[in-house]
Amino acid sequence: MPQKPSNLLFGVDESPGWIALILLGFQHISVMSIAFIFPVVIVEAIGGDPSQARDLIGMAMLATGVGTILQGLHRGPVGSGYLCPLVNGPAFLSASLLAGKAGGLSLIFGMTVAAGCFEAVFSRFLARMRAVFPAEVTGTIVMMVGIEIIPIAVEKFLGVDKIHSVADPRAVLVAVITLAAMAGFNVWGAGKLRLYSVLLGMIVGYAAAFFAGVLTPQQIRTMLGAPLFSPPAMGHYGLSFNSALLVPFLVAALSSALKTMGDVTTCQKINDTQWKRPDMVNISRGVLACAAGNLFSGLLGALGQSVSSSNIGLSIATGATSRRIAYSTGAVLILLAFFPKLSSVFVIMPTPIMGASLIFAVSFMILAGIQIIMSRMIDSRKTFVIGISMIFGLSVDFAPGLYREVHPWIQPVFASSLSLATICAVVLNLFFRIGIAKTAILNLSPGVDPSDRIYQFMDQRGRLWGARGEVIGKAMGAMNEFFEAAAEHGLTREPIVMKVRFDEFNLQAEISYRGAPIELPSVRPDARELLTDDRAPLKLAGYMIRSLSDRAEVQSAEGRTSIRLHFVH
Amino acid sequence: MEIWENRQGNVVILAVHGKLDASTSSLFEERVLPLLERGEKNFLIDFAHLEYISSAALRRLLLLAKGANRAGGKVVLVSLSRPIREIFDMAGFTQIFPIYASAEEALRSF
Repeated sequence: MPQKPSNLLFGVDESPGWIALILLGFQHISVMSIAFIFPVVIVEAIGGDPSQARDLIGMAMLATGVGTILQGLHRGPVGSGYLCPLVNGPAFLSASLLAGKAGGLSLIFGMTVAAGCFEAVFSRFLARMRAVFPAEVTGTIVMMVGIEIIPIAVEKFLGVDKIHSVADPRAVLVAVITLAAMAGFNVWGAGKLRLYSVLLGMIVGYAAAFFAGVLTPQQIRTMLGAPLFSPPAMGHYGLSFNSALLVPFLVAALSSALKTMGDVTTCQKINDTQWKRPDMVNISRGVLACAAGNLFSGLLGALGQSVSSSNIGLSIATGATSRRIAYSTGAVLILLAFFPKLSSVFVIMPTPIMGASLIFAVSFMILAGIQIIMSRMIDSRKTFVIGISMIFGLSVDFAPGLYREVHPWIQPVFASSLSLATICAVVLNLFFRIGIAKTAILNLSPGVDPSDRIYQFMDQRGRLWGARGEVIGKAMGAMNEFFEAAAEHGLTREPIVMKVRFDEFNLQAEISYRGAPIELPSVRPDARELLTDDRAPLKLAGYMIRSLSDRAEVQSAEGRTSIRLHFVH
Repeated sequence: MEIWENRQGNVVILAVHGKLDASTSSLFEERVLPLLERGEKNFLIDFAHLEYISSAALRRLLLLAKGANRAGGKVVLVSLSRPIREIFDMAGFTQIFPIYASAEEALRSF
């Protein structure tokens, strides 16, 4: 049973009340609206007209609204049950541009349906792929989910866009005011001020943008000129398919699925103080929800979807992770699709406000990734998995155009720092698993060998296996309790063999020797007994062995004793 | 294992670094017993840098407390990390020793 962290105002199973749900829904949409830029980019690239861009934004609201609700479902096969909003994000950008240029919008939508089907099939295999995604891999993915957004976040923060190729001082001023307001409400604001810190920061930002002239009268006229009610053009452009584009769309779907994996892992972690490892069954349901969202997107006439990491950062920052916020966000988005005048408030959002919101959210995402990575003991193998993946992932953003000549089919992998880092981390993890024995044996002589041999042995094995430090510490403690007791109380003078086995879920230690069995009492001796009874220290050692392990049993036959200790990992 | 010794008024402050097990706790005992014999009776033991403690070391700690009590003083513990605190809880030693979060707080108890 997950334990709600104390920093959350509204945990995943809690409800903040109707008014708060609607306000928090708007707050999430304000961050999601940054992704409305992608339909515009696609339509511009394929030479479409502005009305097509408006259609695509309307459909994006409808499709991602449905996707966000599906992702929030916590019963049944679809949905991770977390507040994990979906957007028409960058995962499908490269593949959609290829399809758009080859066959227009209908081909984009048809191939998005195919990608959704592939993602659904892929999600069914995820639950069996736990070994592929240990903490260092998922942590790297989560961290890169945040890092990937940095280039676009900083660009927007500085007011760099199609018109301004260098930082615009007025935009920077607006961005600084917006970010300061968001961070200020979040750090020093209590209760509702923290809950709505992004929304309040945006209001401050809109006011600053208006007075600084960043929000132009033209943009306000665009908003006022939009129709109040207009049903979105569902399925208006039709569907078409082209097998030559299958590979880039499948890679995009894979990249979207991996991103979902990283984001759902973050959601699991931020909602449970006792989080230990990714729940792959839950993740596969999350990926299936994403697949359903893509299927829906293609059929309705919207771009491919993926989870919005910025929104997860927002929920961490505000301390509101209730799944009901996913429902309210989705419902408001669906409604907005029918009311262009309202939705245009988000469509005209000034660039520096978008940048400030992204930087605010990304800060939390990066830290969540680092925390996951550091939850395990790090050795040189893991250092390489994390380090090399980060280096190549970051190369995409540090040196744009470096992978320009890569074959278009695998372009989506190299188009995003997240995708490249993810593929690197998965492959390197599998590669470095070569030669890791999951069983290790330590031979000890009681009264001769020091306890240090146990400490060093367990520390080395723990790092090699990527085990949790806490579990290794308990096993080491139990093994040493026996070793000390054996020497001090003469249980044996013969060699002691300690055999340790590890898999992702269990750590088992089997101690065997020729000699008297040790008693593992369920009641500890008290202070008086410890000072007066010579046998009490042995009882305390046995009691500690039993208490440190999750299961302990002693077997003795024909002078040989075997102690089996089990630790849940 | 290392022990850093300090003094605040009539309280001897011992900061233990590393692991306290059967062998290192005898070194601890060798360091503390002469202090008791010299008439020191109040001890503040700082476990902020203690990585591990075994039941054999716990028992030696109990013997030190007994010696201090007999002399009319006491032994208090400060800055136990979460894993060390768990071991003390398991062994029932949190009921035997006064435990404080910081040295300042512990010093006020003498």
